[in-house]
Amino acid sequence: MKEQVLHLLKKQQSEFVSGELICKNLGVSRTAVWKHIQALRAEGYEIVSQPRAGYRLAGVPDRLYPQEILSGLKTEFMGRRIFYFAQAPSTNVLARELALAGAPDGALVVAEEQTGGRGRLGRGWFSPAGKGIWCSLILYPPVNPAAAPPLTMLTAVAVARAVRLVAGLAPGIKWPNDLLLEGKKICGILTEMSAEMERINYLIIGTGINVNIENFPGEIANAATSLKACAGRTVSRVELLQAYLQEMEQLYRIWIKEGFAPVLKLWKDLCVTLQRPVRVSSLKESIEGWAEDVDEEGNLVLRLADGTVRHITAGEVSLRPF
Amino acid sequence: MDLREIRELVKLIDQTGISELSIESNGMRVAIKKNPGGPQGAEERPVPAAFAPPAETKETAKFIPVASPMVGTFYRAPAPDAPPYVQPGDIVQKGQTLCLIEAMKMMNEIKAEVTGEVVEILVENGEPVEYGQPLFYLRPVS
Repeated sequence: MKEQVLHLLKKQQSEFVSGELICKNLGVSRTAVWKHIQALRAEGYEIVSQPRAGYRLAGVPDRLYPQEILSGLKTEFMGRRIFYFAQAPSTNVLARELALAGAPDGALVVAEEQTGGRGRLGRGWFSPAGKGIWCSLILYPPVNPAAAPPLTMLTAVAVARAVRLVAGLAPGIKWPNDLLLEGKKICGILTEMSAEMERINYLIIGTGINVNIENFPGEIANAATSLKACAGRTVSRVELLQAYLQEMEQLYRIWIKEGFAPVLKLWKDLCVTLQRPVRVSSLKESIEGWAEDVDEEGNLVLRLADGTVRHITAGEVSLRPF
Repeated sequence: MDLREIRELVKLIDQTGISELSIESNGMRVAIKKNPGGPQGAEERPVPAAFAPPAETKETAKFIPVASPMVGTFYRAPAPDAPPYVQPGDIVQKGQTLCLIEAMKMMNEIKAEVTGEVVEILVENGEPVEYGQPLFYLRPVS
C-alpha cells in the first residue's frame, strides 16, 4: 500500500497529487493515506503537503530500498525478490540462510552497511553505510558443480558493463574476477556454492562495489578506490544496481543456453591480466610467468621461464612490476 | 600338437566336468589338470596386504570416501589462520562442512553426506585436487 502511494506520487513527478485522488485510487481513507505518507517520510522520502493541493514528492533518499530497485527494473527473475537490510553482518551469510529457507532463483539480499563484510578466505571487506552496493544473489543454476566456477568471471563482466553504462568508466578485469580502475580495486566478488557431486544445492554471488566511498581506512587506501573518486561525481547506487541485475540476467541466460564461450569472449575484451608478466600466489607457492591466455574453462594459462605451461585454477594474481 | 590346439583343449576342459586330462600324440605328452573348487579357477590369488589399497581391505570396506565435485584447490580451514574444519578422529554430523574447494574464486563447501568419524584426510591443505579425487574417508556411525 505504501509502495502504491509512492508510485502515484512518482507518476506525477513534481506535481501535487490530491489526497482525494490517492484515496480514490487505493480505496482507503484520508487517515490511512496520511499514515502511509508519514511512513514514507520516515524512510527518508521528502514529501511536501499543502492544504487543498495535496502531496508532492520533493526528494528520494539515497537508499537501496526494494521499491526503488524494482521501479524500472527490466529483468524477469534477477532481483525480482529483494531482501533489504539497513545493516547486516554479511549479505552472503544471510543469503545462505535464505537459500536454505527456499528463497526463489535470482533473489537479492542487499544491505546499506555490512558490519562483518567478508572477502575470500576470511579476509574482511570494508562496507560503510550508504556508500556502496553490498549485495548477494541467490541462484540455482541447472548445471554440474564442476561447470559452475566460470560464473565468477561472468559476474565480473556484468559489473564492468554496468559500471560503464551508469558511471561512464571502463574498469579492467584482473583474473578471474577483480575489477580495477586506475590499478585499484573497485569491486570484489565472493562466490560460495553448496553442491553435491552432480547437483548444485544453491549458489551465492556476493558483490561489493565501492560506489561513493570518499576515504578508505589505513592500508585499504593503497589497494582500493571508488567510482566517485574516479568519475569525480556521485554515482546513483540504485541505477548501478539495476544495471548490474540486468546485465547479470542477460549474461546468465547466455551462459545457461550457449555455455561459457560467448561470455569468455566478453571477459577477454575487458581483461587486463593477459599478455604480461604476472605473479600468482597461493598458499603453497608463488610463481611468476607470462600470462598467455585463459583456457575454455576459465583457467589462467601461465608460461613459466623454463617454457612449461601451467593452467591455474586458483590463486592471487598480482600485476605490479617485480 | 601346437599351442593353438592346447589352448582349445584347455577351453574344452574348462567347459566340462572333466578335471584332469592327459593326451599323447606324435611323441608329445600334454597333461592338463583343472584347479579344484570349480570351473574358471574361482579362487583368486590373494593380494599381499602391503600392496592392497585401503578401500579393498576388510577394515576400510566400511569407509565412505568423500570425493571432490570439481577441479580446484583444497582448503582444510575457512581462513589461513583459522582452525581446520575437521581433524582425523572427529565425529561429523551429516551436512557438516569438511573442507573448501576453490576454483576461479568460487568457494565450494564440501559437506559430510553421512554422520560418521573422520578416519583419514587424504589431501594436504592448499593442494590442487582433481574431479572425483577422494578427499576424506568417513566411517559411518549410527
